[in-house]
Amino acid sequence: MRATAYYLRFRGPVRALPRATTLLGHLFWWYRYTHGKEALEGLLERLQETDFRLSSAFPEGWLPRPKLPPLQVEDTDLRKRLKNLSLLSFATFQQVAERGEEALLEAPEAKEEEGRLTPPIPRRLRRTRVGIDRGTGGARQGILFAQDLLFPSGRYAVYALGEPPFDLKEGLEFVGAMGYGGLASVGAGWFLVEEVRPVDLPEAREPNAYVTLSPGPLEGALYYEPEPYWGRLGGGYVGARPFKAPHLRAKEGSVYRKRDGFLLLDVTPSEPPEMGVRVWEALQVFPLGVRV
Amino acid sequence: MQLRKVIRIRALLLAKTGLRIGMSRDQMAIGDLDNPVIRNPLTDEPYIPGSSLKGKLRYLLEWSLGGDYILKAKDKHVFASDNPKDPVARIFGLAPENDTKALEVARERGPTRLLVRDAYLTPDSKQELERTVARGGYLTEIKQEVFIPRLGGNANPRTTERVPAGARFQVEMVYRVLDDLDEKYFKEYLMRALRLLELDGLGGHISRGYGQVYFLHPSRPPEEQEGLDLAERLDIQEVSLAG
Repeated sequence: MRATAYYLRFRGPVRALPRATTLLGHLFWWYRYTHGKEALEGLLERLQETDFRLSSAFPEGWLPRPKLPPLQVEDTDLRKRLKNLSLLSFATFQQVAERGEEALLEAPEAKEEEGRLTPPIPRRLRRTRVGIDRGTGGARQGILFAQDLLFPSGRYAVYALGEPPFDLKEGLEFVGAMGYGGLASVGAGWFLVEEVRPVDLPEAREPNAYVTLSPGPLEGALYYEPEPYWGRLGGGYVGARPFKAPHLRAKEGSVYRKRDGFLLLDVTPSEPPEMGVRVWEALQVFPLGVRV
Repeated sequence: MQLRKVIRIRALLLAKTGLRIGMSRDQMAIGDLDNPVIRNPLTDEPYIPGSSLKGKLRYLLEWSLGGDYILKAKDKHVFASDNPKDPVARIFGLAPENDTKALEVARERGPTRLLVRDAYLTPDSKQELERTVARGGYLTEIKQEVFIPRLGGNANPRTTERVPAGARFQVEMVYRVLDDLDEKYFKEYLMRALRLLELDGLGGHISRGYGQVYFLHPSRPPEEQEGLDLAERLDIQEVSLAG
């Protein structure tokens, strides 16, 4: 499938790799701050009618493993290796989309240690932070805490389908400059948009189901991994009551019968961040064809 | 509330004396250093976390303003002003209390204006520091210090790691301007905090000579910048966002 790839390079640590729902939230706040509140409301109303889809970020050349019925494998080592595969190279994804999990048995990702193909895994760092005692200037008693950060290497790709309702490159550049996710004000989540170009994403030739590259709605999911999600409010609503309403959704790699799943889910908390405000989460199927 | 523009500040941070921003470890091997510096896990290079730089700027600004910033920071980590125009809370951010009034103030105040990135070694500085490898550190110096017991005379040695004087880091900060007050605070308070940082220091053991820093404009020769006002030694660019 022809999509547009936006290649990101992280310039520092990040709390969590970008996922489509959070990325869209960041982009909507950027739109809100640069175009105004009414413009954002208009955009959200139009969004359901557009064919625009945005994926989560994946290492360049890798996609999430489709959540298809698992193979029954007797060999324990092989079974464990298969179980641990969460990302597949484009070539393996193509094979799995055509032939199902059977194709994993020949995949270079499932080989034994030598010659195994592995995606770039971000390095983890537990960073210890202290509070400065305003009285003494030294480290303050009781304010020592640790934060886990990821240091991604190489490029990550975010894919877009259809016509974006705004200048997506400009939006992503802004999000990258301001920082994605948590701890942005102390340097986390900083990325550059290095390149934008069309890309042919692998999929089955005559598909009868669709893998999503973005968190999607549970409705219409055929094979899926559910994920309880309790997101935080962003932008101007960051505060002491940070959470949106919790909800269940399907993870990236989940498989749908139909390709056009889209749900603007109301996740307004019981106490809205502002009188009369509604909070929405865009759950979309970013469809890549598979045969099941 | 609308984002008018973004001010980007770029500079080189020169360590005039050895700089030490430490890290704690979950485990320790035999022969390890007592006090290692924080390193990027991908490159193993020492760096300055944005949180260290931002935290120190905030602390210095609070001390320069005095009053409640110091006196009322006892119960909590920082003074939580209920004034939406409070410069420290606006520039550096503040997690509001879980009550209606505090949330109203937080919303009126808007988002944190200052973002401070992690600062990494410049490529030429890294090249210069490569020669430290021969003396046991990697881009750092291993400084032997001795504690002298007041009774008896046996020196108690300890090893401390620090980035040597002369190292240069690439600093980048972003300041968001939502209204006229933000413009005013940038010149009045953020620049003041940066000046204070040069007078005070960054990282640990400042009272013993560590951590003296000096900002340099990234695209001008360093030797021409000694003694210039700070504003001339920063690369400040404004990006308008008027939609």
